[in-house]
Amino acid sequence: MTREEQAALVAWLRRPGVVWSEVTEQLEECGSVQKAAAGQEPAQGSLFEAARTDGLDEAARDIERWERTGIQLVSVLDAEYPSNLRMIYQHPPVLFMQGAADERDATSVAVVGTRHPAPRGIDQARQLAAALATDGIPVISGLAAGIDTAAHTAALTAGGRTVAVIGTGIDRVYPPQNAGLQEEIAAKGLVISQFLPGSPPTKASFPMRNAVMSGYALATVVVEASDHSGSRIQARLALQHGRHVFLMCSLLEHEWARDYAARPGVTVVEAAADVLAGLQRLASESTDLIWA
Amino acid sequence: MASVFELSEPYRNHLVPVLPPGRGVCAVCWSSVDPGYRLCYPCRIARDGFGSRLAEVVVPIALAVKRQQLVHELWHYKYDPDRRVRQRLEIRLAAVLWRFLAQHETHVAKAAGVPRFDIVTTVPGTRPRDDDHPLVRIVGTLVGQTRDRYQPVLTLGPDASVEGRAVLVNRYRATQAMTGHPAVLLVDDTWTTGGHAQSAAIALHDAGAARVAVVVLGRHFGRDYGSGETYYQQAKARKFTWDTCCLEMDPPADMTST
Repeated sequence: MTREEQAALVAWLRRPGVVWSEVTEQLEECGSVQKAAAGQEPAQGSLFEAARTDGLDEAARDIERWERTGIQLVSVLDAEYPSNLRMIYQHPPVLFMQGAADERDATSVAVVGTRHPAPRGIDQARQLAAALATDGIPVISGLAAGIDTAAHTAALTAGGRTVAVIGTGIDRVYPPQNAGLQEEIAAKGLVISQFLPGSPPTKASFPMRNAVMSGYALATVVVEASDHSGSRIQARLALQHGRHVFLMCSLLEHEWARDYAARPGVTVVEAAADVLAGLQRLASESTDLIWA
Repeated sequence: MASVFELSEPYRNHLVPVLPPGRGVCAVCWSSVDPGYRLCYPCRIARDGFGSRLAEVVVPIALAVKRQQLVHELWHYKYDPDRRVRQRLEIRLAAVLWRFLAQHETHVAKAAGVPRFDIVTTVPGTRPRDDDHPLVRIVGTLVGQTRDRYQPVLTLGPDASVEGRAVLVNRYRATQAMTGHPAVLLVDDTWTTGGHAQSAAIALHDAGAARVAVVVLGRHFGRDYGSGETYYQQAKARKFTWDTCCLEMDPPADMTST
């Protein structure tokens, strides 16, 4: 996508009342920002035209400024847009990325859980992330406090790859104490945000982030999550996306987890080895089909 | 090698069934209709215009609800710019079709009034493309249940490029006389108003096919249209299962009163 097209897309996304899922649909249907955006505009007088051009200039300046700080804009029309994410209905029109893309992310695993874990949950997250990382499997998480932080940190310590899918603009940090971790992940792995730079954390932005995390990874492992946890939301979204969900067996103390455990596409696991074994089957790409 | 069971089973998590026949359900396409009507508007127009030249029976595997996963897959398996995405979705949707037909083709045939289908074919795609249409690969190659009976007996007709979804006699034409083949199973990915599938059914009947049954992977569905939301909530509450197709379902008590 050219700089002009990127600017047109950012200006479009900044218009009040724009529904981003409709932007994705229009871009894909039309194949170009110009054609897609043209279909959305009412007949405009010169006054509106001037305002629109201003929006373009501002967007172009912002994109250059973002690039100077290492932030790349990847749209759904770019070949760099992650394949896994293209497969789910909740794929956003644009991603902001800091760090390096890696083919291995196609078989990555999201490790998620509560912000307020018990020591056991922290241990499980660390062991799981370390085992995945050692096996060459990228660990995806959401940079939140608690399980997310434990998973990212253990993957880095094991010398593996980790990717953070965050719930704010990519130039912001939430929670603030993870500023150093976010910087390290951007330097050694990849930070992804589906929100315009500058966007603050909101109640809606975290579940939206969970949808993208589910879509980016091949599967999701829920380590420790209460009834109202965002991780439970991610498990639900992953199943809606047709993605596999692994539940740590200790979750079965919760009714929601017992309910999920009975669904297709869900495996209850005791240790990292179980996830690795399940993952092998999921990752095998076949172009041929047999009955059983 | 991927197995049909393995790939189709997770669809139970997000597929939404159509409602059983009865009040509020179109007697042709299974979509929502306002109380007092037996057919939805497009199906009524088609019946008034073409009567017995239309398909004998239409069976959707599931609702393709706008902004949900199945609608997404039914578009992206054809048009996603990323070849890997198209391939992965193609094989999954093939598993969905195979699983459904293995369990329910006999029910579709019975509803069409035949013991079995002699020929299986697809509604030709109307957008030009460089490769084979993925639905042809699904029905003609991937799905064991259909590949031996698949024949490309339809092609685009003189009215193929007419915009919109109207039922047109010349949208498609049969490439051979169908008189020796009494029963045809016609597969399409999405039914929106039925304009394409019914045009194809007319072409098959006009060429001599005695019975035409349509199976579609998804019946396109907008929750915000008419009584759509009420229909959707009832359908979702029933939960999708591979064990029962819409032809076997009993009408719910609250929908049989009139």
